Amino acid sequence: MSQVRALFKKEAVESVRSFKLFALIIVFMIIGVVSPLTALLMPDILEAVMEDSGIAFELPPVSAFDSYSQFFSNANQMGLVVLVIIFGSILTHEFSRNTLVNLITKGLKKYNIILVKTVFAALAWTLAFVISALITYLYTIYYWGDAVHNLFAAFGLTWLFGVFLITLIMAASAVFKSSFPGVLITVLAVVIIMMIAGIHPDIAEFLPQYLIGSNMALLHGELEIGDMMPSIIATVISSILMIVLSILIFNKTEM
Amino acid sequence: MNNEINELLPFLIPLAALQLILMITALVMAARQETFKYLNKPVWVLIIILFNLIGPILYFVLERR
Repeated sequence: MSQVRALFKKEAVESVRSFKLFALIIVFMIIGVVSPLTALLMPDILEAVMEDSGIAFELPPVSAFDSYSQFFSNANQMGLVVLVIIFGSILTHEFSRNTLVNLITKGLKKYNIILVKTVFAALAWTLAFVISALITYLYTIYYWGDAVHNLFAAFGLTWLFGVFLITLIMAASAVFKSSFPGVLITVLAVVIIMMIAGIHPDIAEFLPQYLIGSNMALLHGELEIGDMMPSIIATVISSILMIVLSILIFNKTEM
Repeated sequence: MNNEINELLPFLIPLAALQLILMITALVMAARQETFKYLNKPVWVLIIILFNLIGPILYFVLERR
């Protein structure tokens, strides 16, 4: 237990001193502010475009759905990319600087390293995402009063996908050791493979990718949380598998 | 138009503040840093100022390890 606490403290101090936690939180705060702003400006932008091209039709008024839709498209794309870039090196930089050798020879359990790093990254991600979601939520309820369905669940889906990405980073780091580009490419490859596999509708429902594609359908009430269960269970199981896998690989790794 | 800008201020002020905080922090760190892993000080300063959001993030990820 003291190992866990010491490691956790090390991670916290490290991410604060390297300003990574700070950068992650600021980026997600920006996403939280930008999303309702884009929704508010969208009619003006579209109007300008339509005037130029001579198309004319009535635009529906901006609603809370537009604001959330902007939030999810920002958080699911830019947000997750920033998450992977910032936390992609959480394990690889220890290999490249050989900072773990001393600790492990002094009796630090290898599985503790993986577990603490995963939990720490997940906590940082939770903090950043909650702040971002809260900012968008507050702006949205202030400007638009529309009732939305399953709001909490819709936010939760993106969060769960982020946790899945973190476990994926861990597994890729254990395989590639000191190669940060290797980790980035693996994460990218897995996401692309899931996108291609998702073309088949029977498989799509079981992929983690389905989580970040269904936020809006949940908000509109077209899907219920029960419909998401196959995908949620698959994501949780694959996340746990990733952690177990990374511990197994990491245990066999010579430092 | 003036009225519209006023309406957007509750968004624009926090947005500008956040971007400035990120940029200034990265600039201060870069100014204090003597040795760089990639590139050099003037190039990093340019990247941080020119590429909003992405510039400071790249700096934090690549240089502050």
